[in-house]
Amino acid sequence: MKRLIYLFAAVSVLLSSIPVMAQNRDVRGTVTGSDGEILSGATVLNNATGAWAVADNQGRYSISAATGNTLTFAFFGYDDLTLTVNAASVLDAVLPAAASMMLDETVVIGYGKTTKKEITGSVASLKAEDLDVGAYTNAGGLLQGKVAGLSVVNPDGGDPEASFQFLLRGTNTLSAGQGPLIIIDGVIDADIRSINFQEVESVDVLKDGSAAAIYGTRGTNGVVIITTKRARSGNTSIQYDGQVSMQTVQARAMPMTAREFEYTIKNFAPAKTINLYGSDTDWFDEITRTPFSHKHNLAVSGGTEQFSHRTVLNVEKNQGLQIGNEASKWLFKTNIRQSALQGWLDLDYNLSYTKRKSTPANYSAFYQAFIHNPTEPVYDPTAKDYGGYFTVPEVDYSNPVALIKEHSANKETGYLSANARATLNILPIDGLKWDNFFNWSDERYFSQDYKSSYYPGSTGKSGIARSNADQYNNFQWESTLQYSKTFRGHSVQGILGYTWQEQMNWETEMENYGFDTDFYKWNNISAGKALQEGLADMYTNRSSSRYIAFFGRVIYNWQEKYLASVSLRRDGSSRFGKDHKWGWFPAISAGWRISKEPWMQNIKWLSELKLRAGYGVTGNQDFGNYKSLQLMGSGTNFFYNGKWVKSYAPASNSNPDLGWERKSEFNAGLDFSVFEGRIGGTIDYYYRLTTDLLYDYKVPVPPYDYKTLFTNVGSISNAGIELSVYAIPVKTKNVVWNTSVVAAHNENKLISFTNEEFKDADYNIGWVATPVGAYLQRLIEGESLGSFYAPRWTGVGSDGNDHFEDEFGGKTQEAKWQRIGSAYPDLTLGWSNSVKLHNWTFSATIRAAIGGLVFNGYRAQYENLSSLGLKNIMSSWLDDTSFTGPVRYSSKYLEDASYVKLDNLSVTYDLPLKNKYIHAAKVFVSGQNLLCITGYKGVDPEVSLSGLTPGRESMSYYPRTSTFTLGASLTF
Amino acid sequence: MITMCVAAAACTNLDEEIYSKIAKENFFTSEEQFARYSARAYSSLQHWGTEKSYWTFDMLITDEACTPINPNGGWYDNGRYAEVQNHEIPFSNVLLEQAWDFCFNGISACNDVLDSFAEVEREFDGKNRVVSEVKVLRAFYYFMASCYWPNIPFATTKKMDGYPEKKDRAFIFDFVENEIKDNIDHLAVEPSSEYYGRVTRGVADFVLAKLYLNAEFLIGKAMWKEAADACKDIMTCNNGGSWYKIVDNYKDLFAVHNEYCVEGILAIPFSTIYTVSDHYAFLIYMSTLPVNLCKPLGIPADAWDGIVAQPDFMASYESGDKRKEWTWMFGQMKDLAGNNLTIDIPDPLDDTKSVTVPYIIDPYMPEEAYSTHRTALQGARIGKWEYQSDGTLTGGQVGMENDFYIMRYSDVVLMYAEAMIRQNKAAEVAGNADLAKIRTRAGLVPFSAADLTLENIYQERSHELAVEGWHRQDMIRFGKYLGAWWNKPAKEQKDFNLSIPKSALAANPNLSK
Repeated sequence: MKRLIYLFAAVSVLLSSIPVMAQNRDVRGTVTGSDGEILSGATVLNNATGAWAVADNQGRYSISAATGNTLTFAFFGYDDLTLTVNAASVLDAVLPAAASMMLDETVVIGYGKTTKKEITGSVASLKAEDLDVGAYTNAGGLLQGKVAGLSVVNPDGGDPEASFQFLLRGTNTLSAGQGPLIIIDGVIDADIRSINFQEVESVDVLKDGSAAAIYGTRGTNGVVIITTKRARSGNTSIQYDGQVSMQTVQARAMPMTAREFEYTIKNFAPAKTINLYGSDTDWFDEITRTPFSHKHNLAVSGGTEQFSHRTVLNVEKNQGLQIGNEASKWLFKTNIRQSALQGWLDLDYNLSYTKRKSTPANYSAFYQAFIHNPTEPVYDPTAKDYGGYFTVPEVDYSNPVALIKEHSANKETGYLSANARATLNILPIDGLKWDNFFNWSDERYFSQDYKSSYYPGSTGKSGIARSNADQYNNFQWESTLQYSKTFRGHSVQGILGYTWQEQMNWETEMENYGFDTDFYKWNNISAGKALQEGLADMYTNRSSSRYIAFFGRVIYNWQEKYLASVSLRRDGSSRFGKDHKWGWFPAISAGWRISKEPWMQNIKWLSELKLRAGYGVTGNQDFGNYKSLQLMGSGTNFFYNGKWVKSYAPASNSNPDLGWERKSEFNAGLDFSVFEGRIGGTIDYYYRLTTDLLYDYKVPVPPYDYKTLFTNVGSISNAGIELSVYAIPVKTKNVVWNTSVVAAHNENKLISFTNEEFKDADYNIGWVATPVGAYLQRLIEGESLGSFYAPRWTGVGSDGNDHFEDEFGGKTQEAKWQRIGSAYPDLTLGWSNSVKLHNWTFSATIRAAIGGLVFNGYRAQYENLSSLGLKNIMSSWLDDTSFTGPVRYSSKYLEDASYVKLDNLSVTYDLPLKNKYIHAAKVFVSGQNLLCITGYKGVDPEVSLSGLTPGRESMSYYPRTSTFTLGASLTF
Repeated sequence: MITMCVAAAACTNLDEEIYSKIAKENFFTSEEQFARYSARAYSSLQHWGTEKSYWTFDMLITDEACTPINPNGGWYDNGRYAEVQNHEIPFSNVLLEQAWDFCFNGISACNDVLDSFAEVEREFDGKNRVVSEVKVLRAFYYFMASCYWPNIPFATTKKMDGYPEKKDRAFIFDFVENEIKDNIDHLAVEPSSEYYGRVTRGVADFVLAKLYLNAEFLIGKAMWKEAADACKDIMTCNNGGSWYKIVDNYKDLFAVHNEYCVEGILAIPFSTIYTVSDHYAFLIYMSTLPVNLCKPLGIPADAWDGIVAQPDFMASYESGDKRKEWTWMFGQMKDLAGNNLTIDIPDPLDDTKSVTVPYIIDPYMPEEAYSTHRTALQGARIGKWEYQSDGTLTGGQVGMENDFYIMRYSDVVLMYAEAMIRQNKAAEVAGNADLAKIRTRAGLVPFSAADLTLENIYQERSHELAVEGWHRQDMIRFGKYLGAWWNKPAKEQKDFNLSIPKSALAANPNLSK
């Protein structure tokens, strides 16, 4: 995989070269490093013919080439070197050590590229070799623990359809979306599931305002730019990647076993003996299995300078832990690059289609399995009314096996994305080009499910069928005029652009029940009786939004020493009020490479030192459509003159003044590298301030129709420090150890939540239903979001009840609850290692978070005797049997969320199989999510930190799994 | 090209296109749409029948009903029900908030309808009548709010600068009185089927009667004569007689199909098809029945097992009063065929075993049962509204078909009797046939002249109108409200008024001034 990347880099170098037709002969030589190392395994590419070779264990190579051809030599840890073949038949290559390689690495920024040494904003750049090997549900997982300040959480554990939640530099908004803008190969707001993670070539994360401001509106939460492997010229290359994996449960909530349950009832709650049924059922076992998955990726690429392509076929099938839960995917993608009109026109087309099909998991079955009485049997042949499932008819209490077996579901998504980029190189003016990009995507989503007549909780309905069909279309056109020029030490890159984007959504849903047979499922939905009885549901909805922007940017540097960038964007979104649709988003940043100054030249150990600072403004429009308009919706019905008629009412409180939420960010950073690049890193400090926060504010009724108004009021700040350090502690002929650490600390503060009109600064959020019946958190000015408030628990009294500070009559008034802490961690850490030993590569990734609280919902609701009886409770209640009282929400259930996780361990072996046919072959084994060290007593302290009520563990939770993968990769 | 585009309007057009809703200015195109817009004001009444509503708040804050922790540990909810039971209601209590919302959502809906009528200059037959209906409905909401809260925000339109100011009871009293007097003559007199569920002259008089009857605690001025006159207007609305009658069978008022009952003055019509959400349905069986009683009653539902009768209220019925068993379910539970039901409970002799016993509900329980928990066999369930046992509930429907008579004629007769007794004119009602019928249909003997005491009228009102949402006013008027009852300590005058809910205070700074 790595070699291909070098090849690709080589191809880009080649674009200017002109192939010369000449007699081919064998050119031989040795590849060594500037430090004297023999570079066994270095690749050699003949840029003219696309032929390539690999240096043997003496560093020797042999390749067919003609005089005048250029050969590019590449090896990990060294800069690429391009040499021209002359008349001699021996051509030795000495590759410079890697320090400058890091600096010359390409960094993808919005609408363009630059290099690491020239960048002035805060951008984290990951190449394929920085990413862990393993099995991922989508490419989002690759970023876990790799970027300082970017938290990537999978809240859905072992669900084969699990998605990752991103949060960059804290929570910057109250109600608008919090995920970063994802751009895949130029497609803005692309679906990360539409690519295969194995195809990722690089990921660039624009973190600060000055970098993201070029995306204006949508840059607030950062921008993740993913570049996939592209077409290249050269001999046809075929690469196959295959893997099989299995999962085991890594953590889950432990209810009492049948023995413990019986013991507890007999000894502590004899009145509940009625709930003992004599069986011994492990409900979790009844609904789970050991899941296996396999994934295959085949990529074919090659072509000429004028026409090249890369075509990928990806097929995978993934089983979930829950019985019946599985997801499969096939993906077809082709990239074609073409050059026409004697270099005037470059064309680049992409066509991809992704089909995903799944039987989704029933999350509530995990919850029901947890609370289900372990002395109940699974089946009861006499329970005819319940389809032979043992059933105790109670509210919110269902046989977990019946929940799964009496439910059929099907989900299918087809995602078609087609785009074309046409670049007109205006050759008479060197460096000027006009680029047009058109993208159209069409996502069709079908989802159907059927609950049979024995599905628990659907008593009397005789089968419920539901069918949804939704479609989301997105059209995007971007036109940019780009100019870049270097003259007498001045380097200028300028861009002017226009973007037009329209999104259209259609949604349909129908539901019917009352079927005479369970045979049809959702395939004959009109056969249900409820339709005739006026009880079936039908729904269609259509909405659209439009987004337009004008933008410009100039990047300038003098002798790669003094760097500057200025950009301005005029953004418009249809979602805002009539007079508030447009906003200005400026950015400015500058850099100074101190190490380039003459007076620094005698400090030999210092390879690079750069100071950067930037300021940029971004916006946010990630919320629903039509919020500024006064619309009428049909609502309730009224019995009017003998018949029921529909009533019409305003759909919501409209806000014609709805305007932009704006985030301004200051970022200062220092990039350094020392000892010829053996150690290097980046430190960033940022301060982000979001003003005119959008939120549903309470308004009085009357005069308003409803109790909340979506409007711009408050402000939030996030300030933090991020550190990324890499080092190559060992680098010898046979052993290279690379290690890198990322660390981040963020302080969140809700600065204001009120203004002249909205004076209420006291909002309770995070409701937990009975038996807890309390709000977990409060929004309070001057404090962090995610602040937990609760009575402070002082212990269990001799009466068996929980006791609290400021208690009166067994209860602490809400006004006297205390701030227990925040859900956000104080420090997040990621540590990646890779050790290359001959043909072996060992890697390990560890991730940790220190500080922060998590609400343990399992303990709050099920570590007490009052919940015991009908339902099972946590086995951990037996650890302290003195607590016999009822549930009272308190700090008892707010636990330290610190953890250290072993995310990934893997071993890759490069098979020495290289020959005429096989260019590379390797195998790997990896283990993911292997270990979690934490004091938290629930399932997993790493819960979602997105949203307004971060830090609560959901009860309907897909268990976390460890994944073990065996994979192979072959390149022909 | 970019410059061309800047010039072209299409390239900068950001108007939102609407497909699945309709802009208000495009809505009022026909008279029917226009007239029907008032339906929104009426449908706001449907909140009355939900689980957390003005109606349930009234029964829980008085001595009628309660929600002890149920046998499965439910209904504690961080003490929100206990706060109401003990009259220690903090301003953040959600039941308090829901009672407030019933009133002010209703007021706001009426304001919106009236504003829209004023905005769109379109005349149609009966426009004045519809406007008057909505104005009287709004007066009713203001009256209901005023009974709970001494100072409330006042607004008669949405189009105002700033937020509503706080007004005291005297102001609201005058507003309600004048609004009704100004509009009563535009209203329909005959409660024909066309006006079922709508505001008629009878409804306006009913609200006026309630207003005057409670004037003493609202504005510190007794207005018994005015109250009696308003009742009299209803009792003589049809050429000296009344359009309204005391029906022969008490149960007809609460039957599944109870529409067009001649005793009803204002019904809130409910339907299992048209009023189905938790926020608009009549949620009676969900609120009170346990799961193990639903099935025998032919109701396919996982009900919540919450509201039961207070023991002292059950003890207050005089013997022979059939309304006790018509209002509450206690004693031997039976299925639809009349077979006695059984239930499994822990064996009292050997608590490691369970035994099957007859399903007999004891309406009495000790005070501790409230805070620890009641057993499955304790606490009478509300059985006043006939359960929809005919198989027409097919699962998943939380509400029932029964309409709710929020105003009915027997209340008028009892209000009249009370107002006359308080004016020392008991003799004038001694022979009232309607009053006698209220007693006889309940299986009791009519009041003699000597029986016409305030205490007897109070008891009669309690049992005739039990759990219909009016009891708090009665307890206040008859001096019972501050006294002690089951699980409720005696309170002082300063505890009499309820606080404005936190959410309302928070949204409108004028309220805390």
